[in-house]
Amino acid sequence: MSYRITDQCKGCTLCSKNCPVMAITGQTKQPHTIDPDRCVSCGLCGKLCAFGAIVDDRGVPAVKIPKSQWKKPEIDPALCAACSVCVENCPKECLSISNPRYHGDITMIALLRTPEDCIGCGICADRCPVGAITLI
Amino acid sequence: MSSKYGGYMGKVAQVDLATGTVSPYPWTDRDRELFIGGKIMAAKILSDHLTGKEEPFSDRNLLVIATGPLTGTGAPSSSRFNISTLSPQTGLLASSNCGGNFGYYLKKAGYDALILRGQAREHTWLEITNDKFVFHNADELWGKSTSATQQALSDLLTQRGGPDKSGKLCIGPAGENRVLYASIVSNERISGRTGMGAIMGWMNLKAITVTGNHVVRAYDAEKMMAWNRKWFRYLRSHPLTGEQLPRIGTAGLVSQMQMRRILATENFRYGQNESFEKVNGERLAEEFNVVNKGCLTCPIRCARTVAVDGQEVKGPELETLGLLGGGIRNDNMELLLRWNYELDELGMDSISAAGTLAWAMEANEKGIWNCGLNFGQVDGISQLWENIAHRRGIGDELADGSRRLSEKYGGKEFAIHSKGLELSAYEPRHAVGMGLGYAVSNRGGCHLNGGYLVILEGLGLNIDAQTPKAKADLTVMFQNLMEMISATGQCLFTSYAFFPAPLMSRPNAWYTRAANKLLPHTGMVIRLLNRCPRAVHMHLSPVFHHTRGFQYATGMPMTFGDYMNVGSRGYTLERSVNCRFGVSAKDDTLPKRLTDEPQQPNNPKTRVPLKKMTPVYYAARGWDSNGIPTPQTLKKLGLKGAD
Amino acid sequence: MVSVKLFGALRLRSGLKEYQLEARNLTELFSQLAELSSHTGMEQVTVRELRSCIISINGKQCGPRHALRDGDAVVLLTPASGG
Repeated sequence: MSYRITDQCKGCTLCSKNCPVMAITGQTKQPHTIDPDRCVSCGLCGKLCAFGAIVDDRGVPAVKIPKSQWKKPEIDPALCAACSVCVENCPKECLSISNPRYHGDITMIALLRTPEDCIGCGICADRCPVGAITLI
Repeated sequence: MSSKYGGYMGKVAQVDLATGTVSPYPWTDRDRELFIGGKIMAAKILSDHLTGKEEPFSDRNLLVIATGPLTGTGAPSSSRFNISTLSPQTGLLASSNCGGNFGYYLKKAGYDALILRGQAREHTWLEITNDKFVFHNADELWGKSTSATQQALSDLLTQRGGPDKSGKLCIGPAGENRVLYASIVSNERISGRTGMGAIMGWMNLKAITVTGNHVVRAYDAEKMMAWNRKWFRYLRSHPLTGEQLPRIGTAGLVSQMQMRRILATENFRYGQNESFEKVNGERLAEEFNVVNKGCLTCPIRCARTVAVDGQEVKGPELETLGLLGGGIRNDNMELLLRWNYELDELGMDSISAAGTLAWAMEANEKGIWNCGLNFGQVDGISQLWENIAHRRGIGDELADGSRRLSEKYGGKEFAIHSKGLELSAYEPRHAVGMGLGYAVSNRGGCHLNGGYLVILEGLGLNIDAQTPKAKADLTVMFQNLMEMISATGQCLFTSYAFFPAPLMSRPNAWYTRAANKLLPHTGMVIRLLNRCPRAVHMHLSPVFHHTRGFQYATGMPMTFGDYMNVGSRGYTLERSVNCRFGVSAKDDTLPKRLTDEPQQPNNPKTRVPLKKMTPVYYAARGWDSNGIPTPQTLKKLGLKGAD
Repeated sequence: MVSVKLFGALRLRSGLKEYQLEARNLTELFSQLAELSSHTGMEQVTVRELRSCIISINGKQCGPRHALRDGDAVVLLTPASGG
């Protein structure tokens, strides 16, 4: 389960600088490689690459998407039970469980704390056991 | 080697620490059908290796860390993993269950279980990334507390590759020094019972980190999610799992146990503690709880956090609250919170530590062992924990637990253990079914492995706590049920929802009173169910979501009857292994205090009539009168030749 | 005067803790408690919920219709489990 870099790579280093799990290595102007043991298939490299050099885990070439069009998770508070699966799996650590609203509050849910860090990878939505997360 | 079933990753790794080699362990789909995972799978692996002559601290012992098929599939409260080994405390096959995130990540690395054996030549920590196993020197971690160890590992992994996303487990100084009740810690959750940490210490293995990028997929993801929605909603609306456990945690039991006279007090001399209000769950929630937490994947979120020295740390569970509160006549909550934290940091089981301490206090009072410890004397206990963990002074002796101490100095009648494992905080003389459970449990004096009949005998329901009637059959049923829930990787707390909400929230209603009256007369019916569980060829979905959840997650057909049958197989298999080590009826005992001395001097019924219950229990299980599973029983359970 | 103490999830939800109250039977006591709970700033409890508690008077368990005598110690507790 890992993305791959093809020989279209120009070594611009954009992907390796941004990979949230530091899975990409390579010298400037040299082809880069993805460590298949580290890659979590978040797809950020593919969204950033201007040269179409990234293929996903099924071998499909990724398409560049400008940041303004990245989707964000929306959490349905009626379904979310604060089980933390999304929090644990978010590669950018931008989700967390809400603070209690008062002492003794037991109605916590998951929240997108730092939307500016979110890369719209959709891992949270994919792993949520109750399908409480949709990407919008 | 992969599996046709969902939920499983299909691989089991065998790690030899002495040689630093890793090899695949054969585990087939047939094994998965018979032994599911978790503690039953571990029992089978250990059963295939143990003959009855092995020593816990030897290279012939194995430490099996096993997940269940539901771990990682999104089923509620399913992050649990099980550790089984030949316990240094009981000398028998024992298991310990933990809610940390290690199991979840182990499956992300592509493994269902790890089998560890052998002694590393130097202090070691093991790093697992998918199929890569790297052994590192752990000299710099050795001696560190459990949180400092995990922090150091986290810092190291973060340096190497962004946010640390790994499951960890480690031991503290207690494990390194082979305190017989040392624990293994994952995050702040503890695999506490039966001394697993000492085995890791003997192996020279300080910690394991595991990470990977596999995804656990349910067999039928769509149905699983739809079912999870129902299941989550049900748990969150049930009075126990949706209200009591989130609000007060397990600590909420103290007040009710006080009322039912099952709150172990002063080394189980009494069943009530007059100053319980200073150390109960309500006080913990009102004055000390900072925020509720939960294990990964859990909607119940029963964990507490409290502040110690300005730091947010894990709060105590009921057992610690009871045994380090009234159990040793301490009513200082601040101290108790600090001790709980210190025991976690040192990597020691708080139940056995408290039980051993209470024995020592009574032994000192009686002049059997002049150790200077007294009930109610709370100064210096923190230092004592340090001394136990490092085996210094009297700490060295206390590190061996109450059984060994009482064998050395006398005072066996008040050494509150079964098979060497100290009892948890439920005083069984007012819940005799729980007493039977403690006595016959494979793990030793554990309430959960014992069947947890207190849920009928005063917590939840309120059936006659003194009668031995039907208790043996109910114990068998509950043990089997809990065995299987553990094996699937789920938390036992999901099973409380088995009791329909009205029974729990309306204790005075006619139907609840009728159920209380009726249950002690259902012995024969329960016996039949236990004998032929597969007759219940159906799901009990309105209250019991587990079978369908299991089916959707794995694709393995499962009915309530099959579910109970596998539980029975697991329990009997563990027993058979223990029988190889000489266990028989003579070991299914409780200390004299609980069987001979009435809790209330004017009511001779308030003791555990163990001799009346164990023969019925053996018969209900299909074991012979000496407590040994008969060849027919083994054959019926698919365990031919396990004796 | 009877003393009443509450335990369990209900206490945390409602904020009702312990009181000295004038009551001849449990029904009277429950309506007073329900009234008191509207002033705690937390969830209000109903008489029905209080009637569903496990009730003990002077350490003895009893049903929700019991009479009270001066000096009685009443304990109300919502069921709990899990450990």
